Amino acid sequence: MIVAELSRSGLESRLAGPGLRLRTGPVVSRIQSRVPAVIEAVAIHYAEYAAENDDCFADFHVRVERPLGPRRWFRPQARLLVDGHAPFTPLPLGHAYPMLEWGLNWCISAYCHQYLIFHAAVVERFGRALVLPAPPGSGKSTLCAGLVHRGWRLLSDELTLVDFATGDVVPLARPVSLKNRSIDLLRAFAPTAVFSRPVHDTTKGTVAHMRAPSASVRRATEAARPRWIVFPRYAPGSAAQLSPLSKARGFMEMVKSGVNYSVHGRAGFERLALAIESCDCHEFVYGGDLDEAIAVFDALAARA
Amino acid sequence: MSILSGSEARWHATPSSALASREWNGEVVVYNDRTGSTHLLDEFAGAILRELCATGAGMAVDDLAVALTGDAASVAASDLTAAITVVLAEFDRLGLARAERP
Repeated sequence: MIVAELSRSGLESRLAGPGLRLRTGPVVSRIQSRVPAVIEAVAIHYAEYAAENDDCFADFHVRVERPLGPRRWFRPQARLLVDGHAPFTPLPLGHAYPMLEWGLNWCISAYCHQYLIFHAAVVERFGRALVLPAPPGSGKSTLCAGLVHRGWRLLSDELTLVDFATGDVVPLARPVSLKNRSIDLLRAFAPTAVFSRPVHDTTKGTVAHMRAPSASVRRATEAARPRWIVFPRYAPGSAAQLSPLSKARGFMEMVKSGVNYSVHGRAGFERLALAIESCDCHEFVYGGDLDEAIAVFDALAARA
Repeated sequence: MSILSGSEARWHATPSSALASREWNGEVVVYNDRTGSTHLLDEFAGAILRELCATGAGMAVDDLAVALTGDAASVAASDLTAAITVVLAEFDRLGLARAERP
């Protein structure tokens, strides 16, 4: 069953009661919430994702709720609970849905050590994965969102999961997080894309989530072999330019983007070395012209 | 005189069982089990570490100069031994090698 097959009241009942066991790639999260904005967002952005049975094992138990006490009403807040514990301070109630997305990312980063995880977007074309590691503000999510609306498949906009046994990248295919000017940029670039209501005044500025393309969600069990590692940098007004980067320097930049590289020690080093061995590494500068940027990556894929 | 600059000091790499490395086009990335750190070495530093790892007896700066150039006369080139000394000091700081008095 997918989420869209639940009636609205059925979805609300699940979220308010036993929880919605939502599958995103290899991860099943049991989500509970009575917050209307969260219910609405789940209905819209996770419509095509599998809603597992109540007896399905859940990797995480996540709840977004309004706290008891005065902050339930006075400048109302929302808080996130994971396995009954609150790992973060409460946020304004209006941030409830982004909080869910950030919380799910945190769960994976903190616990999914069966994978080697990098802070990177990753998309796929012709069976090969393009990894885009970069710090916040570099434009990787904008690029990622643009690419997945021009023929590339979304694997993840935030966390790249590398399978230790195979070296393949495992998809999550969750909604893409966009910030500030990128929101309007993507609205214009992909007029048929579905966006959440923008949430203002977060620590990241204004945030909105773009629903993952249906094809990406349908193929969320298909892993992909990494082929390119490209470090993007947004520079307003710049023409799109792709430059080669040595494998050794690419390796070190990936270490900087490592979420749990240090947890794995030598095994992480060896796994990353194998990935680098099979990848071409590049630096990429672009000025915000998505068509120009995507043409560069399409050409890269065509040469592979 | 600093042990690090004395020509009589013999340098030993961290045991190779604690190191993992990969080389691409002369650049080397090396992981140190003892510190959990990963380092990027240029071709020169990578060659020095390789020489140190290849011998268990330790090497003096002059020995390294000869090993790197294959030319005993190069030992007299103070800029080479000075450059080697700089790298070895960095290795010491990073925990990749250490000096011992004879």
